[in-house]
Amino acid sequence: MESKSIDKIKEKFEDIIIEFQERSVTRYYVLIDRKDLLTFVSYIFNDLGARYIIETGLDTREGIEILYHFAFDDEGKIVSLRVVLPHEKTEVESISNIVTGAQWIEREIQDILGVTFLNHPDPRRFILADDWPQGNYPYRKNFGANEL
Amino acid sequence: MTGHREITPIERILVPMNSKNQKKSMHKTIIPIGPYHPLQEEPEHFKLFVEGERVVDIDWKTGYNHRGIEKLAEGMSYDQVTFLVERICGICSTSHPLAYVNAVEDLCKIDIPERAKYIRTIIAELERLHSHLLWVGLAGHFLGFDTVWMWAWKYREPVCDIMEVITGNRQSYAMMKPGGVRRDIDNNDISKIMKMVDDLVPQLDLLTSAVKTDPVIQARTKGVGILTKEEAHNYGAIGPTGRTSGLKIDIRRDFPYAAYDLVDWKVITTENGDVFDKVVLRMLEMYESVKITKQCLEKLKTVTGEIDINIKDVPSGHGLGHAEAPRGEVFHYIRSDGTNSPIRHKIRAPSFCNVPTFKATCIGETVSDATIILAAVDPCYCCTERMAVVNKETDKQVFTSKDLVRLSREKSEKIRHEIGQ
Repeated sequence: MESKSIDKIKEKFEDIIIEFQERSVTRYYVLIDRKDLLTFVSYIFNDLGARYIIETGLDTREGIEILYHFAFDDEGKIVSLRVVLPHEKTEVESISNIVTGAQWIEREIQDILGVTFLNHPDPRRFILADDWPQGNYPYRKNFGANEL
Repeated sequence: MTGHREITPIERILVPMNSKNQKKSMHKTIIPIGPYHPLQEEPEHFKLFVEGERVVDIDWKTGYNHRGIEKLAEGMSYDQVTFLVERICGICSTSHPLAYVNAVEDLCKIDIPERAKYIRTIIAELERLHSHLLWVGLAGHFLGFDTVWMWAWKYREPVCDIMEVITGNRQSYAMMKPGGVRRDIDNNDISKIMKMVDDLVPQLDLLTSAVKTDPVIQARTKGVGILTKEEAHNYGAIGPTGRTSGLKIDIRRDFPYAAYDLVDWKVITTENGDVFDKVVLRMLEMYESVKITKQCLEKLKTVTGEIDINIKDVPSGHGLGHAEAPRGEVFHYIRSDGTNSPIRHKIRAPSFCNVPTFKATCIGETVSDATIILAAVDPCYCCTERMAVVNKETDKQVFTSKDLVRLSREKSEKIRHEIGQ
């Protein structure tokens, strides 16, 4: 199936896409810089009407990587935006002011990976226990390493 | 909730209660009731803020029962993870494995044998049938219709029996496997299974006509808890919750997996977004499930061959899979580095996106309607029993979850009395 949305994204953001990976005819992975995140998300979500699926956060050697998964249901495509935040500065703009439904998952990623979401409307702790020690992030790869 | 932060119990003690602070704290203060409470089967907490009868705000807190399944998956082999994710939910116990195997197959870029596709579809659709029947029963109970509840759950029994015939288990079927299915369906059993599925239809007819025509159900659910199309898009609502608000989305059609593109069926959508639509949509979906199951059973008679290809190596890269569970899209993302275990396994259950829509649907409604609105998105059913109602003026708990169910039932009783039934 031809995909207008994918072509539009490629055309509009030609200059700011760092890496564009077409893994199959339905799966696309787009690496961008965090400063371009809001422009990108606002275009995909508001202008192209993509459905917001979820965010995945993971700890890699390069830094904390966040993937924003969006679906174009009528075209049968999934676009995952990727941003990599270096360990020294794990900060990124919150997309919750554009996508209301992103609030809760961003709070979860904040709890488990220690990412600061700037301008988040409600950055309270979400899934960790109230007495969980500060600065201890269970989904980081070095979690528990000091105790061994 | 935007812009406001909850005041913690400690802060309440520390902050001097002069009149200015008192006013401020009254605005959002909550007495910490629950999440562990004898009434609650699972720990999770909804806080309704009310003014008189009206709900003015709602808050959701979760994570008390976080089992770290995503983290556990990082220490297991790809085959073991299938069993792990089957334990996420008892009601949609096949949706998670199905989404997971789709993700592994996406990662490996492989296709599975045709017979396995039909078997996967049969299991998934029978699961939808039993899950929707369970929900209809509960919705009936919340509204004070215990007859509907008992009917629905009685009709659910044969579905569990079919599952037992096919898989050996009434729940947690352990049928999915990366590359195929674990057990074949014996072709000699097909006629027996077909009869059991056929027998469901008159029972569904009875239930549907009862739900559709009853004036009290209409009065309690029509125009109640409306989720608009725009709100559904903003919250990322999926499954029946999104489809009743006019979002024409269904993973089974949009991203075909298993055998959904090989059989004839249609996606049901409605426009009103109220509780009534959510009831009717689920009833209609059950007929589609019956249709799909029968076609797949028919195909099994002629499609023979392997049911599994043995996956030997999993390459490195991204794997992304999803499946349409009874409550909406289940989403799994895997990052692999080419070893035996995933380095990250992200799981998103549909309720994670559907639950927050309460913020859009409950506010402005009455307390007695809140129970059925919350139930209408079909969170794991016990979620609705985790509510406590707090009076905004006094911060006192005024209703327990039992009271809320009672209030909802009383309202139905009153309407029934008024219309002379």
